[in-house]
Amino acid sequence: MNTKIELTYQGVPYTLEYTRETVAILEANGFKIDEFLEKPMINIELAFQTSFVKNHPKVQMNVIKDIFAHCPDKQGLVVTLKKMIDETYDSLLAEPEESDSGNVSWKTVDLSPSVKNQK
Amino acid sequence: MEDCGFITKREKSKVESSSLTKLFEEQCPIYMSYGMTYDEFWNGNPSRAIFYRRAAIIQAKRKDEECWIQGVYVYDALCRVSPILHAFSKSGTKPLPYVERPYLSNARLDDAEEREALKQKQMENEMLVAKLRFSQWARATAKKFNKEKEVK
Repeated sequence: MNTKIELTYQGVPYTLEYTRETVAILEANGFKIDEFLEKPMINIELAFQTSFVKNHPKVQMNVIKDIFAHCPDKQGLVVTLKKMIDETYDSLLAEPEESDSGNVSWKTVDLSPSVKNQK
Repeated sequence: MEDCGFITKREKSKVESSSLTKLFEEQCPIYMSYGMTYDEFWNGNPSRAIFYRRAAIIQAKRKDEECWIQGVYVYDALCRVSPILHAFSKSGTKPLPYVERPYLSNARLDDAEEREALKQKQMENEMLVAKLRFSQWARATAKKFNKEKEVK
């Protein structure tokens, strides 16, 4: 029903999801859903940063940028973020698919930098 | 949410035409009329909107059924009163009494059970009558046969 991204960074679990309020904030900051993939440099990072707003509004921007930099599958991340944004307005217009049986988490990933890298 | 450093939707938006925000603002009063709260619409799980929409459809159907049954009662009442509404009805004409119980009351269901029991009894009575008639016919036939035998 509602796609979420769950990840861990430096031992802290994060749950990234969107509400309509956060999508409105996303658009207020220059995001356009139609240009999501056409202007990747601006839109993907912005979308990723805004996904923290609902559950982790006080996380510092540099931490979010670090997490984004450590994300291994950027393409999968982009697809998932787009799906999460689409769900906020699809739920107003469409019926859920029959196979949809509950909340779908993307995956739990530990993005903490390794001790070697830190040294 | 103001701590995150983003422009909130209450301040001036950088995007002139915010397509999704506009859609949400148009849909918000509709879903509030379905019973969804403002906070739930903007900050809750987006997929809740689907269930509020379905609930609104069910409510509309129920209201429609209530209006229909009210119409049935009015129609029934008019039909029962109709004998005296006739301009040239005979003196002493009386309307039929108003229906005793609501259509969906438990008492009417019990009547159905009683009717079923009555029907069963009627069937048993009919079988008994058929048996009696057969035995009468058999006696009459036997009597006739014996008489013919005596005559011979």
